[in-house]
Amino acid sequence: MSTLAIQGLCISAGATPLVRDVSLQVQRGRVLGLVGTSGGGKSLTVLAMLGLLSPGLRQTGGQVLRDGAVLAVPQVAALRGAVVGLVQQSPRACFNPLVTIGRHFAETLAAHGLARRLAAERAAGLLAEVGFDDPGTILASYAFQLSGGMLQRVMLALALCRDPDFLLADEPTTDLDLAVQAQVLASLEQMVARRGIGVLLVTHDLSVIARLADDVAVMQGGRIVEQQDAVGLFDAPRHNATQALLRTHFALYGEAEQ
Amino acid sequence: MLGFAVRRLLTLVPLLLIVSLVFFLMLRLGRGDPALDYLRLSQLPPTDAAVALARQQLGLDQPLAAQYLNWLSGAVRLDLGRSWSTGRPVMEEVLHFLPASLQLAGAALLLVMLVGLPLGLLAALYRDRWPDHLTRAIAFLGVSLPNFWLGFLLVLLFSVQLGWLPAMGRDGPASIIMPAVATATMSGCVTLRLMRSSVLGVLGERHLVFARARGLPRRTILGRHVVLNAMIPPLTALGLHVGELLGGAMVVEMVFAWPGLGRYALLAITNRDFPVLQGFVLVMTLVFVLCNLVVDLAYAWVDPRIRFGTRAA
Amino acid sequence: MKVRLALLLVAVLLGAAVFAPWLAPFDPAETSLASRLLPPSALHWLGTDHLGRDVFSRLLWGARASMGAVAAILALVLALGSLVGATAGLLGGVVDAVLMRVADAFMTVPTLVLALFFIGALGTGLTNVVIAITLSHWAWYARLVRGLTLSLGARDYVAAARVAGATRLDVARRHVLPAVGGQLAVLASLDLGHWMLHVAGLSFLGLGLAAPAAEWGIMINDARPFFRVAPMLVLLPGAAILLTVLAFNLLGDALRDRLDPALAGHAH
Repeated sequence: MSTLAIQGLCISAGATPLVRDVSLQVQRGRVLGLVGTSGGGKSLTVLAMLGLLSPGLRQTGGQVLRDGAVLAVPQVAALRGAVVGLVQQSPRACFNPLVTIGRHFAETLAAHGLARRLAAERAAGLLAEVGFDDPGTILASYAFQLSGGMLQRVMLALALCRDPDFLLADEPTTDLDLAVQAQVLASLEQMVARRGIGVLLVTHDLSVIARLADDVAVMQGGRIVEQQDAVGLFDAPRHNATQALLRTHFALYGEAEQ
Repeated sequence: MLGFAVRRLLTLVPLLLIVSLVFFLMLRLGRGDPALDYLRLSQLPPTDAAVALARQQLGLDQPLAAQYLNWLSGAVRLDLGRSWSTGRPVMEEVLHFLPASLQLAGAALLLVMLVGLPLGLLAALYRDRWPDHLTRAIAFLGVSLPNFWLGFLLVLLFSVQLGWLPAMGRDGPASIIMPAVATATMSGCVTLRLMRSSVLGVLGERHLVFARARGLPRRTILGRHVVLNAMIPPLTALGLHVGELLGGAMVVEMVFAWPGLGRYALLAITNRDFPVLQGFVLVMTLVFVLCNLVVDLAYAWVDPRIRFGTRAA
Repeated sequence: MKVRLALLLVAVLLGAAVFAPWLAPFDPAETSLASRLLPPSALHWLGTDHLGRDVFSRLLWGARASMGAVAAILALVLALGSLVGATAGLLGGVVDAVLMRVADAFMTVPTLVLALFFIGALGTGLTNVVIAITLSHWAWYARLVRGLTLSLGARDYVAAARVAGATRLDVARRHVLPAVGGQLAVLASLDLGHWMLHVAGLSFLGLGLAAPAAEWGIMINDARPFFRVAPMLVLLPGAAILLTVLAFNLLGDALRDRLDPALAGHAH
């Protein structure tokens, strides 16, 4: 069973600690949900797993492990795209505005050693997989010509085009309307089922967790306060942070779940 | 792209008209009597009869509107009248001197892009380290230098002291180096600073994070994602610089005895040669506006949002 | 800190300009064929030029001419730009459209070309140089003032003032101008250096003050025939120009960093 883990992650901005001793493990074929209120350090944890923290932040502790083996910094960098894919919220800002979608795919696949023509075919195939009926038009478009929901699915396809074992999804459904959310989540589900990838799914929306997650970790104030399987979390939440989250969620959406 | 170019060209026509009209009025309503200037340049004695005859020949007794329309109808047919001092067609003389000025301004523009942009990138990538401090100090000095003085300095160093480059004239590729450097320095330094801040801005953008997350090699990220995006503000600004470069070239021409439009225009001013002045401004404005259009086209070619007429959110 | 250093430099230069008549040891126009092209000495601190005139004195008087010209340009550009910009912004409609088209026309033509033409039409002299440079730069200020007038005009407190009975002029004077002032100061201070260079350049071309006046640009032009023999005659006035422009640019940068950090990434 292939695993990707981060252990003992500590991040601070200047003197303020933002993430304290966080350890998570993602397994192939399983979805690990990461929930918590905004500002809890979830996004930072995701970025740290790929060594992509912005220069203003200091990582004072923590290691990335693959299949139990500690990785050095250059090895972590080698994971990007090839072993671990990344999907973020507000996808529009993640695309280069001057370059077509097709070019985004071409350059990603070129990094994988794939020639232009083969890359185009692979890209079209992936776009079909995430639910686009007309991949050709999408490939020829620029980011500003596509809607947020479409860009989120394109981003998913891009993250997966190098056949990674794992996917880090940071709030992939935030900012999207419900119909599009459903589409994106369905695509994610299919990806997990079809490719057996391991997903770290960060979200503050518990219904997403309920639908997709096998295990859940709860983060508050930069720490993991609870971690168990999804069913257990909903039935018997242990930490009051989790309980608070559940209360708020049900207050908003009612008891009907799954 | 073609549609874009045509649309821009169409908006330039009214602009040229207004410009030429305003200048025409300034000329005619300014000090002095054009008829007297004409006689002086033709070396004819300014007797009352001669003045009256000149006025009639030059159409100065007609209402201003008619005079302007006369000139305009000629200008549209590419006839800008004849110089009062040499008697030769203004268009012919301008076309004779224009290439040298364009060549100098063009060489300067190349220098601005080939030196200013990379140095700005360098300064941004090595932010707050010595390459950054050094280039910024040089840039700060560079925007404060008078271009003609820099020209003299270069001549002193490279011609008089070292004897490497010719001090004046336009023959051989070596003779354009110093004039081009003198002309380009100010704009090059402004471009450097602009590129630096532009690159710094792009480096903080999220599409870079995603590019890195996809595992793209450094070279691709730097080239396609950083430089391409960062070049847009300096490219837009280049449109403004074209005017400065054309003007600066004319001053530098005086230092290096470069046979361009600069000296031609200066003589016309001293002589108060009205047809030359009117034609000169028209041609220069046209050249400047066309250069701006080329820059805009380059900008549109790079940024698809401009081409499609939308602005990204 | 930067602002203070810059202000100090500018103040020194201003001082030299204003007090030149008292600071200069010699009359800048006093020629002496016996003392031509002398090297620096105790008597003539920076030597003499080709007509025996004291270089140091001429540099001081040159500061007077140059700084005076720049000050005049500043006043004119601010006045004209604010007037046209506020008028266009407040009156709107046809007036706005026409004024902005005119502004566009002036912005299109490069400074030197416009100067060459304006001076060609109206004659040489420092006054015309000042007017020419003003004409080629006022449009930017008009656009700035117009833009700010428009954005402020949409603000609630302006509407409230209007409801309370203030005339459009009152609104302009009391609400628009103070907000605009800061941005104008930044723009102007960044432009001072450019204007100085244009003044010097046009004088160098012989379009400004006529010899035997003392002005840095003319001094360089006068010294051209003697460049190989006495290069300092060309280099010293140029160094003076450089120093002045450096001081202005330093002031501009410092003011911009202090007053408008949003522009800090923006090179003019």
